[in-house]
Amino acid sequence: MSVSHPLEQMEKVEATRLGFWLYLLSDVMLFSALFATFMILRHNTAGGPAGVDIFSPPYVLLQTMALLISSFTAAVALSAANHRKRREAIRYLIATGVFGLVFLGMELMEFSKLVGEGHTWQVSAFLTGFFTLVGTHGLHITVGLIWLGTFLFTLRKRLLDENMIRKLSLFTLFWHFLDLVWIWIFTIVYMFGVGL
Amino acid sequence: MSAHTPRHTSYQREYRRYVLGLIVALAIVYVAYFSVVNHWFSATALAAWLLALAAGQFLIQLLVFLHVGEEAKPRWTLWSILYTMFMMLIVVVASLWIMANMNYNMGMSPEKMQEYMLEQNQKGF
Repeated sequence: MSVSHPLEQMEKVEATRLGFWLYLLSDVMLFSALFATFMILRHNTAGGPAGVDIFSPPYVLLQTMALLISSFTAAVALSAANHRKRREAIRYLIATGVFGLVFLGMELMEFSKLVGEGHTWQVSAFLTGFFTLVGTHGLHITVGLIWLGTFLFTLRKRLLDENMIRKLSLFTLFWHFLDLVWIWIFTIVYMFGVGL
Repeated sequence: MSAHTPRHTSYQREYRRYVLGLIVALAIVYVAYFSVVNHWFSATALAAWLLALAAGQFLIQLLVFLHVGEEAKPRWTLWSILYTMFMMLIVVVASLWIMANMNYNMGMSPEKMQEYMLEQNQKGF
């Protein structure tokens, strides 16, 4: 009996999923570096504003709720697709997109308000760390929304096939992962920023 | 973990699972929010409490939404995640540890360091 490589024993779908997980985990290392930088520099305000001066807790709470809900609708959309409920899947994907857009819009409004008040990334190490960390997450969200848009575009005409569902399952992985990263941003940037 | 959740789990059951996950996730966020806004704790206790809540939220998201731990052996994904979390802790905790001792290593008091940094800042880059 020949011994095959362990990866060959996996189903193709499983292998694709593992590969995507490995990409996400390398992204975790990127965010780890940004988190470490931010945590080290968060008190270095160099005469500029500190977190407690510029963050609005209720605003961030709403933003977090929007992202958590969009993560939920993404999970339900995949579940519906798995059960071949095409209309249901499309409906929940649209909801995911709407809540994702609300989240991104709120983040951009926060950024433009800060910049408008003169609190740019050049003011202090704290603000550089803040804009880099939160901005990188926002960039990922933007890419995710574009990806989501391609699903909605293709699903208008095409039926849900295995290939589509596989891609959709990778998208939901990506989306839940961004939710996970946001949980830490919510805690370490905003809640620590306001409370500590 | 299966890419296609097994067909025998009904749509309604999965839906309930996710609704429950969402409710718990939102509850944790609210608790964190109110503990900060209403000043439930002193500084050190608040930090520990918030980190504990975030860790709980992290676990719930992993288990409920990302289906971690449901794959068959060999658990490639689970081990990759655990390894990455280990590396992440090294990067974050060790960086904080080193930088916490930076003033000492630079031979300055924190006040002196602050002064020096502001002076450098004024010179521009």
